Amino acid sequence: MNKYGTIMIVDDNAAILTALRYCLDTTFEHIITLSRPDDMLKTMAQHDVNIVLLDMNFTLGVNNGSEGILWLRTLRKHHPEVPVVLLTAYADVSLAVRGLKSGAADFIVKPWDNDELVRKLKDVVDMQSEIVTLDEVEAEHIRKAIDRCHGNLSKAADMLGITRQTLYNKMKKL
Amino acid sequence: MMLVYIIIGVGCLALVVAFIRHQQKLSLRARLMQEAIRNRDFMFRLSTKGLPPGERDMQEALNQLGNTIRQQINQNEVEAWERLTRVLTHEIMNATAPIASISQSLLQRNDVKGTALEEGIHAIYTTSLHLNNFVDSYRKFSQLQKPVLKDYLLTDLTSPLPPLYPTVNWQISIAPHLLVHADSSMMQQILINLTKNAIEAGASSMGITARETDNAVIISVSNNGQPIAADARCSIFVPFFTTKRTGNGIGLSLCRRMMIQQNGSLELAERPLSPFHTTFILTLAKIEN
Repeated sequence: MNKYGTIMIVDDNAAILTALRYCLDTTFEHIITLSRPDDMLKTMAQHDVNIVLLDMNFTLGVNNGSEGILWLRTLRKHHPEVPVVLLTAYADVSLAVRGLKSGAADFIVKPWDNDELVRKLKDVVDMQSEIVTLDEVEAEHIRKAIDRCHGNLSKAADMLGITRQTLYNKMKKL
Repeated sequence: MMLVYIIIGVGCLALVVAFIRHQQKLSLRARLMQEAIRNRDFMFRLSTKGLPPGERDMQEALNQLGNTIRQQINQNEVEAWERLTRVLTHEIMNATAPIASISQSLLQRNDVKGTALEEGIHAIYTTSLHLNNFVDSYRKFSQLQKPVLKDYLLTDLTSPLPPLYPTVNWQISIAPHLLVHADSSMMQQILINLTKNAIEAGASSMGITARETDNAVIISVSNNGQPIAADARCSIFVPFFTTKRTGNGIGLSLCRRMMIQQNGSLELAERPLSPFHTTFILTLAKIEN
């Protein structure tokens, strides 16, 4: 069975990190665990992370999850191509919804069922790889345009609404 | 001439004495009412017969006060428990997450399957699931429902019970015209819960009677099951309290909550109505015809 790539798990509860390691050991090639969100960006700069699992309850006693939302937004801003799945406290539906609106791919409630957790994470990674980058979309479009114009670059550039020089430059990158 | 003065003097004296004695009677009334509330006898009432209008209104207000205080106390208790429960369920579910997950993972391992460890780890796993279900069912039941209060014939609210529980000998004696202001689905849940508890305590017969007071309807729901132990009597309305092995203790605390939401109350009677062993007293607002 092909293993999925790298998952980064951020949770200040050591027992939960252990539980997730056990659970995802056979699913992911590489599991990175962090107990503080402060190290997230540094870690992502050093490793090629495919998915992030972020716990929304950090500060002891403060249950509103605002800090989690801030970290989520930071992740989405710096690494929009990496999906983030939230780990939310029991019955915290409103926080989960806020998370989804702030760009989370999905959420998992504590306590969870192992099989369901694995399935959700796999689905998120699979869906992510289906979304192609803008560059690929552009390249595909340029090829189609040139085909249509039977190799006539000026006509193709016209159709695409760019100058011939710009089209030439883009084609060099293909 | 002297006689007139004497008569007037005696008359005034008599008036003063009568006035003082009347004031003393009023003081006695006030002290009695205070003592009753201090002794938590919130149902204590003094008669308003023969009182002049101002004093009658005062006495009625005092009579009502006890009831209002009792309802307020119950409401505060319920709300305090709700706040505590919310924090507790949050902490419990957070804590059971790694327990359930790690034990589930361990059970999948080849060095656990079929070994001496498997049974023990399986027990840990199922116990953590049981705890999850327990907390979850409590949370689902305690979600605040807004009551939909309408007027109902009390007999309509109690009549579904005998066909639902045909093994019980039902003795329902309610005046057919008696109207109450309640939420019918909450009353259903409450009556069914009381019945289930009774059956689990071994009851073979149950009785429901009702009587009216000035502005309330007092419904007594009794059963002949195992009576409630003296030391459990103050705990039965506490959330999570249960004396049953498979119980989760959500029943009575929620029933009381629901009665309070209908502006009523649920109490355990000091002395059960004979021939029964246990009587619960439900109070609801009465409708004037």
